[in-house]
Amino acid sequence: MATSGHGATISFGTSGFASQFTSIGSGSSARESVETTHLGTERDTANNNVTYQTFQPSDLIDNGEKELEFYYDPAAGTRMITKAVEEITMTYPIKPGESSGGAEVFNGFVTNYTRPTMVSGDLMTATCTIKVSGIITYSAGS
Amino acid sequence: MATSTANTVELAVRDLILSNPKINDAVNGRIYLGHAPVYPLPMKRVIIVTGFNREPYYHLGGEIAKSTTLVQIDVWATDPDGMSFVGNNTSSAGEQIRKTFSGYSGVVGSVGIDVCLLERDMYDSIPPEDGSDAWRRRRSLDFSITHSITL
Repeated sequence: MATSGHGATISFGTSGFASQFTSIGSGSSARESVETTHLGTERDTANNNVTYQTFQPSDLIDNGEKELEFYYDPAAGTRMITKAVEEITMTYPIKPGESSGGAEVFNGFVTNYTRPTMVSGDLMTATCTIKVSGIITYSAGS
Repeated sequence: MATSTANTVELAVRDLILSNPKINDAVNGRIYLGHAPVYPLPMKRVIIVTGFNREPYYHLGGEIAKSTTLVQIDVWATDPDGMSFVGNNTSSAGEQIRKTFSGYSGVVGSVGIDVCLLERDMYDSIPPEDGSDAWRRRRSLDFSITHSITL
């Protein structure tokens, strides 16, 4: 069942960075395809003897980045861009009937921090990008 | 400004208007929230402050302690010289209110006001029904006010 993103959380194990997050982009994982075509790769004799390239998945997976947007508090002063790799826990919203949401736990660090644009009448927001380093451990909501 | 105990944006607006002695003297304290106590309006000058369309802000965990509220300030005059009260000459109450609120930021009572932005500034005149020259004049100013709220 589709659910809103409202209720998602993210917490930082070492730096303790906390804010009022308005958006958590949970990112994407990707891996290369490695070509395995060789001289003996089968020809398609029914179609002018063409040969189709073959591939296998790379064993290297990049777990990507997570984009966070949050209300900027000038008093907070946390400089996330300077922090070391730490364990980060992102939880999905708790669905009806659950007592805890699904979660992703991973190591990561901030690679980009965008300061707010100041506009009359608009609340200031900032964004940061977290690079995921290594495995993401998933757990289902329950 | 005298110490304000305002805890809503409407009360904060009212107190800020009351803090201007020129306006306060001109309306003799007749600054009302939401509606005038009698209708049709008496042959007097009144100001009515109405807050509506409050838009809260949310983060992923719920509402934050900040909102933007559209507040309408209606400056009414029902006397023959009313235009000088609501009008755009620099000493008019209407213009004093525009100058006070347009771009204002500060703290009134327990309400922190980030900014007041003038969204609409409109005049209208309603002809008298009794054949007199006592038109009802109104200057209606809508301000978009971003302010703190108590959760």
